[in-house]
Amino acid sequence: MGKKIERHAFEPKIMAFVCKWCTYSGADLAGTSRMDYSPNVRMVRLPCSGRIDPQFMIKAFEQGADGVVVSGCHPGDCHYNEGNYYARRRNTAFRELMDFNGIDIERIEFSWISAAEAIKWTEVIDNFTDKVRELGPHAQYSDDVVDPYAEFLVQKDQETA
Amino acid sequence: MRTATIQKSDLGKAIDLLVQADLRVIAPRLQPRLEEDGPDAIDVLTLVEVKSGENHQVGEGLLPLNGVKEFLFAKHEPLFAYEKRGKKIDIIPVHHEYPRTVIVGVRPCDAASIASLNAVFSDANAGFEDPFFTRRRERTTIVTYSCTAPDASCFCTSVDLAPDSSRGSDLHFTEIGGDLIHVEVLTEAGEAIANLLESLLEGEGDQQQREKAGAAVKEKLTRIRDAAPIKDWLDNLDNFDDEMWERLGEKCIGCGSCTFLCPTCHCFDIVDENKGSKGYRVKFWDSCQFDHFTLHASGHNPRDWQYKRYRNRFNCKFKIYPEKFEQQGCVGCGRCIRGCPVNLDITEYMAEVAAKAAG
Amino acid sequence: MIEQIRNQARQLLENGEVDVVIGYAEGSDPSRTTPVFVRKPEDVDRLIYDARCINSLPLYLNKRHEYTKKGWKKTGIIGKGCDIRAITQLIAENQLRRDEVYILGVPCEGVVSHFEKWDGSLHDGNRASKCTDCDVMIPLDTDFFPGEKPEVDRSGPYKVTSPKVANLMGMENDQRFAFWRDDFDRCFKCYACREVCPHCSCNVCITDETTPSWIDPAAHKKGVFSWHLTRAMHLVGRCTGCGECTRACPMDIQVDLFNQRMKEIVQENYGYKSGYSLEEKHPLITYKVDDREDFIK
Repeated sequence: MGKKIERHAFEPKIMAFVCKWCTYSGADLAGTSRMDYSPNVRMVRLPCSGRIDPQFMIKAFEQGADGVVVSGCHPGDCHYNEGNYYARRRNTAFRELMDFNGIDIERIEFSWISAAEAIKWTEVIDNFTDKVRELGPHAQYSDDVVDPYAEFLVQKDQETA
Repeated sequence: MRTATIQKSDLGKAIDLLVQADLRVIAPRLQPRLEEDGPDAIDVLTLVEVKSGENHQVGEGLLPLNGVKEFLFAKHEPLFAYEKRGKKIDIIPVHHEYPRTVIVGVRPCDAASIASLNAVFSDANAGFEDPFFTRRRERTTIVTYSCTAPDASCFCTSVDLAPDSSRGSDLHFTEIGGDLIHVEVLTEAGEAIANLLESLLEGEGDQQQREKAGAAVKEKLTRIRDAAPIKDWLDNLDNFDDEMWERLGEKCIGCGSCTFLCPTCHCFDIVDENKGSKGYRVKFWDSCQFDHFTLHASGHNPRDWQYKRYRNRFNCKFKIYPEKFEQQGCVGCGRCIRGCPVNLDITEYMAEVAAKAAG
Repeated sequence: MIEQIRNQARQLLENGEVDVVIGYAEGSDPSRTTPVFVRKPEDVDRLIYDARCINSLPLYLNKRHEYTKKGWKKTGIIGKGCDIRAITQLIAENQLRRDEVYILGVPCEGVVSHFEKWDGSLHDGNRASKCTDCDVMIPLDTDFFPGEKPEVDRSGPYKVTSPKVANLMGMENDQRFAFWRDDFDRCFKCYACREVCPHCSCNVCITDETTPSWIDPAAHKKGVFSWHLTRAMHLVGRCTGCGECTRACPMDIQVDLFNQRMKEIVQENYGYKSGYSLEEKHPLITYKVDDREDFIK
């Protein structure tokens, strides 16, 4: 008995960078418990949220993601003791940087999700996917930014008058 | 050669006429510094594509930051696309647009630089042609505008040019006083443009006044160097290890500003931009001043110190270019001097070499 | 003032206490100055200091610019306040040792923002924005200072000096993005902003990594944005606000606005000002258990 997942005309692509000890395990638990949630998310598992380099998030947008989720262990519970504290500081700065550049920070979601919080995982993903779906395709990383040479592939008359 | 006059105040109309004729028009545009931009901003003059509703400032300001290089030798462009399917690779051609273009308000130094670029990219020398460049070149008309107020960094007269030179020009404008500009139609392409501007052209111009005006501006240049002894001094390979190179070039930081601003510099790099199994092969601007420019895969770098890289640049412009292409490599626009953050000055090198050559 | 500096430099070179004195000399035009490497005592008269001395000389203490290759045991360097902050930051990051430099501090009243704006004197019309509210006009850490060094209260918070930052923060997201997109249209990825930065010292910059290629070297929007975002991110908590990146940009793009905004964020969230302390750890390599996390779900 699952919930009905509706598909819409525009389905956002969501990238999730998660730590393996907490969030990934939480997502795993959601899976083994047969919980339904929006299938738009693609996950990249990293050993710790402290490993998540802002480069990954920029790259995700460049490759066509409409939204990015970054998630790790709760402060105090990091498997490596401190990784998530550093991540917290780094993400505070990175978020403001994106904002200053004019990139919509509503498209980046940060969360602490533990290995037991499968329900929280499904909620965060569902809510975020709905939000990004509402926001629409990524305007700042539009097609011409993500694929700068796509227009060169379109057949055009090479000889102009 | 046909000559005529045009009013300076009609230049805006001239641009409109060219746009209406379905040409891609490129003209200088000044973005003035606004109060809200803060004290660290500066007025920016660049050559940009004319878009409707915008004003352009032909003949005003001195030199646009970018020059004509980027309109012929693209900052970045795809050569082809590819897709890997198992062991097969499909090469997919890309289609570039080559609209008929006219660049208005080009300064003589920039116009002269086109011949230098042409020497490298056309098949004239090595028999291999860069078709992206040659197609753009064929479809681009250059309308030059003689300088009236060179600044302290200009040194075109030291490299066999002049502020009123028409080398590389199709249609040449020179201010002759009042609101008048003397127009010279130099090529067929220039004639085509002159025909489009027929309603604004009058009379036969004033050749005498034009020559007088040109000579008067030449007097204003203060940076004069003797370029004659340079090539021979550089040809003497003992001078390759002269102490001058390290002394003058030690402060260079390898930022690449000089090469990117220079109208004749043309180094490029090619990389594959990949996404999964698809991608493009892209050609884009590179600089010999970058520390990894001559880095070999083995780790050896023949130009391992920065001063050696600047030495290479000087040699490229004043020895290699004249040797290989019978063209000058430097047009004296002074952009490298203005743009260098540490005040490296190519004319300082010229002066040192001339002094050493004299003994 | 400059005579005292020259005398001290002469002595240091004569004693062999330093291998070289890095300072400013007259440039190739009356409005410009140039960095100079003085190795012989008789050349110290070339050293000058005035409001045209914009260059950030600690750049030459950065290992990326051949500092480690040159084999200098001890380097004398003329430092105005903001430059000495850059040296302090380099030492705090272990890029330099304090005993490798001999700092000849100079009192500074501000510098011009661009050589083009120099008209014989420094005034409100041509002063660099970083010079407003500067608390290191008398530099903090020096080995030699001509005259008395009065106490200066440097405990005040970092304040953004360019009005453009506030102007941009007042815009809507879309407008701000449109501003950057138009401004960055001119960027052709020359990396002058990187080369002129005293703190950019990675042996192989991430932009030069090719396997994989994190930042596309071509100057399309993707490549340009990823470079500037990365540069700003890598300088968070490290930028000492010399403004050289904006000055060096050949296309006159105000790239240091990112850095100014990030310095404001670092001040707001962690109360940290870079370049004031040799011991204080930089904010991204430390943490507090109660750091802000209101944006984390």
